[in-house]
Amino acid sequence: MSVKDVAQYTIADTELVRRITADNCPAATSVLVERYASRVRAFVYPLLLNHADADDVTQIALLRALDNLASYRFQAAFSTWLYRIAVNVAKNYLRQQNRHNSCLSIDAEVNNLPSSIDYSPVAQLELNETADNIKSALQELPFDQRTAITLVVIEGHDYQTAAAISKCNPATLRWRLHRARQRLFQILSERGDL
Amino acid sequence: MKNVIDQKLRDWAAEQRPSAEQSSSLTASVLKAWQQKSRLPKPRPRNLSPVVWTGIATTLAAALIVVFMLPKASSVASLDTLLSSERKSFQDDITRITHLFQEAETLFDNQLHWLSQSGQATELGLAATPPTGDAFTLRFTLLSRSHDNGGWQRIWSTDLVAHDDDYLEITPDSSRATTISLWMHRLKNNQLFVESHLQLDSPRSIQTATSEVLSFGEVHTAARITDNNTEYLLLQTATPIPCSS
Repeated sequence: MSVKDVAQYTIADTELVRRITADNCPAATSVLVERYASRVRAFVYPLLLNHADADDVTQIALLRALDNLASYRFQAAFSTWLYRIAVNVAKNYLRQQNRHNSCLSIDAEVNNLPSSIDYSPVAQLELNETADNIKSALQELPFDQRTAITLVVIEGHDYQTAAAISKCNPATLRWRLHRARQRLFQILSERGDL
Repeated sequence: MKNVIDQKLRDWAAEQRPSAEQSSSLTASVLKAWQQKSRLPKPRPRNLSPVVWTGIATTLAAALIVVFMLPKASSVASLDTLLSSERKSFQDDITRITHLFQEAETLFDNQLHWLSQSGQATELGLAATPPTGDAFTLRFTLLSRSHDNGGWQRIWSTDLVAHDDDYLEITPDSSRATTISLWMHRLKNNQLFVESHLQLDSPRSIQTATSEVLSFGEVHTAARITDNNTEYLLLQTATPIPCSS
């Protein structure tokens, strides 16, 4: 079967996976990698905030997925399974890089948040639109919160899917998202971006 | 206004996406790596030669000698000292846990069923029908000591906020295979009856069921377990969560 034959139709992820695990079909492998390389890359960049690291993690995650395709049980969507691998790879990558606190926070959570956040229009947010401000604000979030806000806000997943990818329950995910928004609001306010 | 932050994040993320050329390059790189990996023979387990085993054994023996010659670490403590510090630590943390619980209740429109904190990990559970009982903070702490050195060490702890007269089965930390089953009932004289079943996976595999009456704020020894050369103590401490105004 040629790449052209495979790509001619919109072949479902599950069918591609079956062809790869059954026949090690190169064409199916190419289509699957091509379908997900840029998506995974776009997903992991906000987690790592470094383009070279994002390239590395994308490659590691896709290779790991291909290596473990036989363990994919077709219960969740393939993208959910793949994104879960990508999250684990990114987290381990950061741990090995030993980036903490002021650089990229893995686990620590700052608890000195205000007791309430005024989200009303009266707050008149005037956010500085340079990429550096958003990036540096994301750098201060713990990894789990950065993952939550990336999955829901940037990637557009619903809470159930995002929770499945993060391997937590939806309530926990919503909590992390809430904390992430609070923290970003606080950081951008303190930097005069309001 | 949180929508403003969300939109800014999306706009920022869109600017960071790889170009078509970068995506093609990345795809090609992955496929090349996969092809190279597929061609490599699978590594076979190697049998070490007797010379290598001798070297490893010698190194291990030297390491053990060094370890035993080092002065013993002062991280272990007497039980009284640990219980006292546990009581103080619990009192110090109550304000933070209460704030966390009340904030989460507000966020989830009073449908919060339970909340747990294990280290830096926070987990939450919701209930379609809000629980009606009083809320309590319950801390589980696991201590251990080796029969050789005699001092206690704190090896695991989790804080749980839940309502009395409400049966729970939860995983307080999704990164570990730990489950807690719990039922509490408020008694007179500032006491709480706690029935619990703890199944801990790490740092030690421990299973214990307890039925205890706890006085608010007091550290209570709920279980004592001996496993080979190690002894474990499970501590429980509880206090009510004040009603939010």
